Amino acid sequence: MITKRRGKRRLLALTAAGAIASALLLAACGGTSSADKTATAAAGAPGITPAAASPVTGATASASGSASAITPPADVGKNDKAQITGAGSTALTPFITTIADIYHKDVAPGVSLNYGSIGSGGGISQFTAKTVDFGASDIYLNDQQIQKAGGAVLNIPVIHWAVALTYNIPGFSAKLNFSPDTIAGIYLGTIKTWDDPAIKADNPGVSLPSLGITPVHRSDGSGTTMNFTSFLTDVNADWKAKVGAGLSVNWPGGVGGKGSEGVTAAVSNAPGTIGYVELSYALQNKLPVASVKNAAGDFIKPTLASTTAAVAAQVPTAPADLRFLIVNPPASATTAYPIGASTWVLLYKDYPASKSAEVKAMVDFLWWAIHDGQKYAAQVDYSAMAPNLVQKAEQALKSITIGGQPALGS
Amino acid sequence: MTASGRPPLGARSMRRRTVEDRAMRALIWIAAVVAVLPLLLVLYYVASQGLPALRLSLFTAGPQPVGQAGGGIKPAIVGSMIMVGLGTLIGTPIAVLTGIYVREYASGRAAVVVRFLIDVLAGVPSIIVGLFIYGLVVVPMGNFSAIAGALALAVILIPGVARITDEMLALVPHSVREASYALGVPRWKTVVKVVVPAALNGIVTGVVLSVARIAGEAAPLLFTALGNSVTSTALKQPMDALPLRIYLYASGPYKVWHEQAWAASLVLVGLVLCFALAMRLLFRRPAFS
Repeated sequence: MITKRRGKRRLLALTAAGAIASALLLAACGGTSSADKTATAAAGAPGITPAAASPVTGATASASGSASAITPPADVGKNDKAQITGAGSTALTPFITTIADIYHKDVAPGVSLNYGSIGSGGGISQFTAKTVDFGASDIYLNDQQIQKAGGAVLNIPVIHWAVALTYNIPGFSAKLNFSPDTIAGIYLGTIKTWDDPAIKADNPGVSLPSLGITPVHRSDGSGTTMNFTSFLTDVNADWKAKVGAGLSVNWPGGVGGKGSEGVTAAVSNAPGTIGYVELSYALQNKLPVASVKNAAGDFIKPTLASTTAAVAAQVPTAPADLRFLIVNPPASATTAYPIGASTWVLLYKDYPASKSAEVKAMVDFLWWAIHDGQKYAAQVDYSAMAPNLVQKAEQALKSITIGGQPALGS
Repeated sequence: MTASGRPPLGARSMRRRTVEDRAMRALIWIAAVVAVLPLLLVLYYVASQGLPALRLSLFTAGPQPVGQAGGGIKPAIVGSMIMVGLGTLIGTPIAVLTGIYVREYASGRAAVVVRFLIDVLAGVPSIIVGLFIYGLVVVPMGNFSAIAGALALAVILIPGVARITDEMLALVPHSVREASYALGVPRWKTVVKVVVPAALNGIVTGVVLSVARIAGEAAPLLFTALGNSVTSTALKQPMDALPLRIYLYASGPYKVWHEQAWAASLVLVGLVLCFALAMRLLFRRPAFS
């Protein structure tokens, strides 16, 4: 009798637990993806405002003038409702999370973007596996990768930036200069200490400590690595012969960090380190950045202006398929920083109707991103797209279809 | 004192024995403290690092754009609760039924085979479980999703709970089953009404331990739930989780990330402790007394 009563109590307790659990499950199933209103309200305080004068405003006007039939306004997606998932380049993360937040608050409250900062290599493979709405990569897809993607692919550039060399030398406050050969030497492991003659030669009159150098590279497949090693391959024969260029290369030494976040963390935590990251990671974390000697022979600091100069020198020659690099601009670009980079979003040309809400919201968002979104680039130390590139990107976005129907503004 | 024979149990010897006794007691006591110390240190350290960053916005706001101050971990808290809850709901019935089958119904050989397979499953690294679900669910679905994350967690939960159920049922004396049979109670009813209730405390402990484990897993969620910077309760969309947030924030360079990673750790430890405590209270009465 006693056992039975206890059994009943236990049964009751179990039923109660089950009821609570299933209520939770029901709530979870019933709920739809909802943007976080509270987060938005809290985020509203710190003022990021559009730059007053932007080179892009002119671009928009000229583009809409020359475009064929209909050119929708930048806020074409204001009534969209969807959660977009993208993944890839960590170099893009500060920019895209900033503008997605603004887009959600000011333009399209129904649209929220979830961006997985997993590196360009990861972005390419998730895009190819069709597990994300868009991939993002700091290097365009080559023909072989496009073939593997199983469908017509568009490489659409959305922003430019600088690959900055950042370092951690305790108690050292002078500015550092690097010639390309010195950078190659450090990453090849032939330059081992900060007071090496090669570094001294680049920095006359600067007293450098005899501290060991630990070069930090990306451990994951990275477009930043691709641009950085492309530059070194361009300018240093030794590097070209021994290492070459790629998303991930066979590093002669040093330590790896996962993502731009990991490299930045490694450099800020360990004395004697040097790493290459997208400029805003260094600046946001108050790390010093080195000037790099360009083809004209001048040491140029990575800044908005010097990156824009590199973009201006290289992008006009960009082919129609939008696949180009902006490393090592010619000597005529005297003020250009030599290791510039771009980020592409990777999209399919045609999407099935089953994902139409996400795809439409995504294309509308990207349309805004290459127009009004560019105004916010400078605040996070990225360089806005050149006008003629915006025009080419417009054509690419207009060509995207959902089940054969144009996606943009549909 | 004479050369032969033991000295009488005098006051001196008594004192020596007392000292020995005290010394051994002290050693045992120290050993016990050393065993509990890591837990206390972990709790203390997580609390001391996490408390300063604990503020209301942590629970009400989502992550800010990268590099900006403020924001919170609401998507991760909501996501962890949903995915761990769902994973437990999916995994526990399967695991408990497996345990009951192995102990009460399976023939000798079948029991050996199933037990071996459960042990193998328990030995599969959680990251592999994540990749398995990625291939099985994420790629065919064409999206990272909370469902995929919950399934990965369920797969990790199953072997632990199944094995504990099996062991706990083994502890129920045979005489209890026989008594039930003698009263003419059928086998299934004996299992449901007599054997399982008798082992319930142990099974619940097993579930609590397994839930605590999956609540702290980041690896199986990396390529299933992906993570989300937006508070989402949609099961077919990517979802955030506390271990994912902690992993991302702890390995990043930003100071505000480090603070929030500690706060998220504290929240995670708190949630797990609360759950364990709640289950203990709910199933407090001993099965046999």
